Amino acid sequence: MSHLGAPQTDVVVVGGGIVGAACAYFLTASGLRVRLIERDFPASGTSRACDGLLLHHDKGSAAELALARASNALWEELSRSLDAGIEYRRQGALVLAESAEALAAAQVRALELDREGVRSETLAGGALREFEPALAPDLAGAIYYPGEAQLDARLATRALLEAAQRRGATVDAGLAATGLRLGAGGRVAAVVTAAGEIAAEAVVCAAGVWSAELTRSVGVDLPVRPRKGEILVTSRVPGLLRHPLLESSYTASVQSAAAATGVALVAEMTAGDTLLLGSTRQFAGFDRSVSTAALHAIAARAVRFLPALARASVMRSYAGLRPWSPDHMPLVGPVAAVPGLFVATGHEGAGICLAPVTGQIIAGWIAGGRAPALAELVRPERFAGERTSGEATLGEGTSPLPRKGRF
Amino acid sequence: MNAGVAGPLPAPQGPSTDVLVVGAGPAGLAAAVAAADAGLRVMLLDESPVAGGQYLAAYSAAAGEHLDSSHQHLSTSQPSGGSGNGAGLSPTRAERFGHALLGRLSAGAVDWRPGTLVWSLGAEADPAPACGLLSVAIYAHGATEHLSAGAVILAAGAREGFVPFPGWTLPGVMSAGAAQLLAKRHGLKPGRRVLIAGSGPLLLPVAVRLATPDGAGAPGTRVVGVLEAAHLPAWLRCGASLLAGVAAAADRDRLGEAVRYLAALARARVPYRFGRAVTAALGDGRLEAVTVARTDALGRPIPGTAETIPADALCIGFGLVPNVELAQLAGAASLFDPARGGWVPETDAFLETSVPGLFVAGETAGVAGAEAALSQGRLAALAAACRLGRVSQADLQRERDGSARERAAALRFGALINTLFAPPSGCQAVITDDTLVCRCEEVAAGEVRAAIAAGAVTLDALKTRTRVGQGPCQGRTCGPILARLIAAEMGTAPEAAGRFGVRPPVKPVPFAALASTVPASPARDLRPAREAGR
Amino acid sequence: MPGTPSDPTFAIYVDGQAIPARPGQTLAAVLLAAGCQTFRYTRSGKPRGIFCGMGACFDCLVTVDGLADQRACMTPAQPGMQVQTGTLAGGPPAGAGGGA
Repeated sequence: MSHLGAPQTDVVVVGGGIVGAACAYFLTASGLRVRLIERDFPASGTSRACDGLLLHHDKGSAAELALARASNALWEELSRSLDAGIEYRRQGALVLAESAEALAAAQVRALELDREGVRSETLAGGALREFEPALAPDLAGAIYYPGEAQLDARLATRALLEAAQRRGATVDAGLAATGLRLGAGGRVAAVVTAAGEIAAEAVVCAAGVWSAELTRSVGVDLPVRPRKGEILVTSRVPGLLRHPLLESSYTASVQSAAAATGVALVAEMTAGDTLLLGSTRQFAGFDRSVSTAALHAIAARAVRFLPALARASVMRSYAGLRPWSPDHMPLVGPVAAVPGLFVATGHEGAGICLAPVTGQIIAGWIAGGRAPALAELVRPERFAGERTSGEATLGEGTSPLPRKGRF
Repeated sequence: MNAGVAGPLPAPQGPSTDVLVVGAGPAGLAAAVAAADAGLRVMLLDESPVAGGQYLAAYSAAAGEHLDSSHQHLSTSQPSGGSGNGAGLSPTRAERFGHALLGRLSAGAVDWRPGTLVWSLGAEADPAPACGLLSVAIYAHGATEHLSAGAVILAAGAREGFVPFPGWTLPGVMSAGAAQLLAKRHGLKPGRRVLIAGSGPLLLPVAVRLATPDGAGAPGTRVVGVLEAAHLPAWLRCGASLLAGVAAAADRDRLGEAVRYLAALARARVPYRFGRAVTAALGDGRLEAVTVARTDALGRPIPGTAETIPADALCIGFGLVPNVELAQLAGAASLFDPARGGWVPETDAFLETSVPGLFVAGETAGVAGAEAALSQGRLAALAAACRLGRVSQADLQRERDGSARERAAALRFGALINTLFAPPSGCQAVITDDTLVCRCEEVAAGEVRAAIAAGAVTLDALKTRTRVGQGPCQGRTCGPILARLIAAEMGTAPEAAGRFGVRPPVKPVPFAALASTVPASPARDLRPAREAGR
Repeated sequence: MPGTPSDPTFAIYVDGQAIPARPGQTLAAVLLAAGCQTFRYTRSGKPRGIFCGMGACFDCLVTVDGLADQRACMTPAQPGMQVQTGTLAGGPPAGAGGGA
């Protein structure tokens, strides 16, 4: 096989979405020589088909929250240190409760989160109307989480990649990894591409929903499945919303493993004065079509909460594939069965939020040679026992990580 | 959890109609009438309140007749100012045939739905997969509705192509087709001093219509000139081809048309110039003047030849682009064929796409003119009828064979026009870095060129890196422009730029209509799981 | 008298001003006939009017009876319609027949 001529590479990162970009960023910051390969163009996968919300309140466990907290803090730093703008803003987010029951449940949750240091306040009636004038006047109330933030995922992906490149990373777009070659002792020896092999002793698989396909080539069965989400984009509605909105059932929808959930409204203004509206969740394989049923459902939910949308139109839509994992925690770290192979995927709908901490954990493993902080929470080998006809699995004999209390 | 279903809707109760025809231009009319004649239930939909498409627009100012969608009845009398091609020129064969078809609409055999937007088209599997129905989502009169049909004929026509230049977004700059439609249907002239520029034979009827005083007695607009980007040899080749085919009635017709137009322009003393390009539109808030340069053989402006022409209307057009978005959404395989105007669905000999039951006809199948559209509409309808068991395979074959030669001739002529009068490579020189290439989102060529240089070499990549294609037109205007820009910057073929993805709605639909609907004829919208359907 | 078979003109309201319209006219035709070429302003404040005339380009957007972003070239004028544009430019042009 031909070897792609390239300067000495310490780590190959497969996948140019936000997670791969964050890995490249932190790996280069640790002084490693990184080569990132992306089969299409940067952010061409799920990173361009999502909203850009960085949330704490929708995390379903103490572990998820710990990760989110660390990662969101990193985003705030990055928003200042990255050369390119990523449209980071922290206006908080409003969680809307339609009914008194929903509000009560939302307040219970807010209290739990408050014990973990996530601040909030309840708004209702006139105070809510003044805070967010476009809301339907008949809502029971809302919880405002001032610590929630947002950014533009595509700009952020690009900014991280450019920063990594300035530190010497090479980014090869249009180059797909077709497999991995193992060497002596079952160690990673190279990434196989259509244009030849790239020798590497460390490979990070950050290919989102396409990660499982790559790791399968060395007999590793990643339990990551695509979970489709659909988003509508409205016609221009300048000044309609001051804060991102989520309805109170959003968190349950996020944590659900049902074949298909109903619509759980999310609304986020864009820099172009349009409104992104989601969200749906369903297992539909790798299909990225948008169903008319989803359009109707999201539109109906949106108009219920934002009656002024009756003046506007649904302009377009798109679908993205969230990399779902069975315990809703990402898989970040070394694959015990294949020394030198690392995975960084399984973020479901929190990929944007958790990208920096993911990159940091990966860099900690590869540069530091041992488990960095928080790595324990996302160890890939917690899915031990997922055997496929006797081939290598993620790990041997370790039990799944117990969740520290329900959230 | 709350209301709202993300999964499939309940199973349908049977098709809303047998054949659903999208677009009521010549192809759609021919298809609808042929399908009705074959005894099928037919629904004919068009976004416009009037039937006829761009080709058969008709209006009679003097008699005050009008085309009123609320009556679902059309006046088929000839407009007093002349027929569809204006200036007292007698109607073409295609126009006569088309007007006869329009008359058939009022007979009631066709369920004619004007003012109806088709915003989604998908495949639906019913209990017997062999008889898969196609689901169609429509918006009309403030409400959405879901329909299903045994066959869909997409006859959505084509839209104009453009070469942008500085100032092309000024009010007063419009497409040649817009000027023609305003004149034909509303008796309006776009300005007092009109310049017509671009490429291709379509500029001629526009020029003639605008230069001719209309029947209501209003003074003719002064058409200051017709500026053809191609050089004389292109026209000579065109003429030679028509002469060579002069045995065919259609070719004779076209030759006669061209001669009559040129004679009419000469009578009206309208200068017709070859090898010219518009390099800028100037004005404060509206068009006031146009700068024009002579071009070299490649279409590049020749330095020192620029002149500034006062004008308050500039009508531009560079050929036609097939409206294939619905076919793309339905997953029809497509190919890039410059001879047919760009991306077109792949079809078999009976105009069926790779999506069973989805047919295309007319300019949507490839830009080849009204005669081809009429013939294809009829063929597609019979093919649909055959699929639904109303017409035998033998009869269908007979129809196909009988009209094959005229269709082939039309396609050959269309191919000639589409290649001879395509935007020349040198037109890129007119697109300065501050020229807008995405009108909706106001993205300038400089930003796009920088993105291309940074590696964004497909339309999708450009859409991720800039705001192109994210506005309400969904890339209809900028898509072909960007593809040529990428090809010019990268030295690659235009098709390498790919296409923008298509998702529903293919055109914007008001929230109120989407939010309030429990679909009237519930349609299940199942797609086979497929990788990144675009 | 307007509104009769011999004079079917009716009024629509553009930015509050009564403008004559005839059955079968699109809003674009009505506006152009009245001498109004600018239908809206873009985000960066640039004027836009009719461009493609056939519903493909989405430049000619106006608000109709409270519904935003309607294509003037595709919307038939109806009696009493309330239309908001970016501006109502100038006055009617010289010459009969509605040349714009």
